[in-house]
Amino acid sequence: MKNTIQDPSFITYMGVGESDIRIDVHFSQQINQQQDQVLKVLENDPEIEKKAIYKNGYLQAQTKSGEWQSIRVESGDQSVFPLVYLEGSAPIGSNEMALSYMNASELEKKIGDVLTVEYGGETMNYTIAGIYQDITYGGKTAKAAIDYRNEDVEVYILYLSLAEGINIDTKTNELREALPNIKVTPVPSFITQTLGGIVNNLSQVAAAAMAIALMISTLITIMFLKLIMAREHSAIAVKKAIGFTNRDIRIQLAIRILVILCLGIIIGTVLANTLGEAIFSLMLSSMGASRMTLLIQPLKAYLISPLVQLLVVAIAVIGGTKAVKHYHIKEQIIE
Amino acid sequence: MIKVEQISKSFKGNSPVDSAIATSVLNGVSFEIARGDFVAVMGPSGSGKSTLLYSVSGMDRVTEGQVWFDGVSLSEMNEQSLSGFRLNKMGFVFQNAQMLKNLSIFDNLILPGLVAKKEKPQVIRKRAKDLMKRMDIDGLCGRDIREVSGGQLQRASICRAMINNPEVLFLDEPTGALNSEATDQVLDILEDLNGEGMTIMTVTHDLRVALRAKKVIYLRDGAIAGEKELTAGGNREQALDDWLKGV
Repeated sequence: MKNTIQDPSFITYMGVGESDIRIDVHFSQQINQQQDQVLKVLENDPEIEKKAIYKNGYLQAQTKSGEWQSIRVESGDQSVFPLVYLEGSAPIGSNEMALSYMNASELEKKIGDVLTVEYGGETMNYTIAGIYQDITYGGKTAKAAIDYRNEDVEVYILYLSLAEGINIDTKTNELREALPNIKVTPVPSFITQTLGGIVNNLSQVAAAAMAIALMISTLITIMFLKLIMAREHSAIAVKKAIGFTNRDIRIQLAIRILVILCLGIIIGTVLANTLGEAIFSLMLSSMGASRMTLLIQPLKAYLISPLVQLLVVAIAVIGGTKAVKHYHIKEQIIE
Repeated sequence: MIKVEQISKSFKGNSPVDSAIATSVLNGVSFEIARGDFVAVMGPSGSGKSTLLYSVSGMDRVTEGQVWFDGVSLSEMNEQSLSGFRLNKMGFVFQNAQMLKNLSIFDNLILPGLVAKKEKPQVIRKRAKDLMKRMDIDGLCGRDIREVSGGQLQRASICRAMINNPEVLFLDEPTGALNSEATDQVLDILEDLNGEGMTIMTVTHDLRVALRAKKVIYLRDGAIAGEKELTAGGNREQALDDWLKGV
């Protein structure tokens, strides 16, 4: 989960396609001048592969019960940073709209439904073309081609994608120098800022979960070994008497434990990849992202993590089977 | 063949109090067992008979002294070598047979052979079948150990002890859990094996077992109180009885 949230592609759960830098030009008396200044700086910059500017403002949308409520609508070219839609596709033309998952749920709209909105005293009908995931602005956003009046634009947001080999932080600093009064944020930092608490909490939870999992593995291994050894005390003593060495018996016990562990790792990995995604999606659905795909670091998930577990369990087996050397056939003989 | 030189054995308990006090079980015991001998160790309960058997066979480490087997010191072998040595040169028979419950009688028999890995499995299986036939239990191959009598099980455990062609058989109260008929059957087998040259050392309370032996060692308080050679012919029972009363 932590890896997924920290990955730059997590921006796709924030209502926009993958990009490198975000520039926010907030409403002020100079909003139009600032916008022009930004566009001038970015113009013909060979280090910028692509860019798009989105106007954000508020409209009134009619709910199923006929009441009106404000919805935040982003207007701009949705094809520059294409988004993966939960259902449907990006709005095309002037009478299509895409709703965030939470807005669609709240307004009870499906693909093909019509949403009535009011802007500037005019009532318009939009057909819902797509539903997407967005955890920004309380999860309640929309996308449509709205011709906002300049005074109604709350913020201009520019997303930039840099050319290959261009360092995001270097470029951010460069833009910050060129645009001193404008907020320039690298996308990874934007994700961290938006989810700051969650990322920090997840780091602590991940570390605690790992420590607890290893402690539980050790505890269960030792308890399981004690159980087997108590149940098979007599058989172990007999085996030793007929020629098995302590090492042979400890290897037999270790193999049994390791077979169980390997099965556990396989089942755990499958569950983490299936049930884990469902749980993660459930956690984030209240924020506006209902279908998460976990990004897995194969080296960590499929090699390092199982190896650490194997190592911990192997140490537990070595310690837990030491008592085998004290098992003796004479304890089984009742005079 | 086996030379026991001044062996002593003491144990420490597990409790904090007991761990500070060592209990002496054997004190300076010395004797020899020649190839083809049949030695019975007798003595009251707690005299150290079983400890002596396990010390001589290398299953227990002695605290002091040496046990020599054909000139090789068991005391100086590490655990791994000692296990291999026991597996190949010694056979063990215990009271109550001590078989593995999750294996059939036949599988119990061949297990030490498979562990020893000195012969092919088919050779071991063939020998197991021959031994079972000889002990008159060849019909019990696939049986569970809970499905046969104590006498049959003890004969099976002699087969198991013989599976690796050992040079010496160690028996700890082999007839302790058997009725008279089964005891006689087991003793006949042991006598036959000894007659064919097998060296035997057994621990027993049973006079009938001792009467089949060539030599009886009487142990008291961890030390040898007396040794008696039992000569063939004459009234062996009377002679042994008289000796035991005097020892």
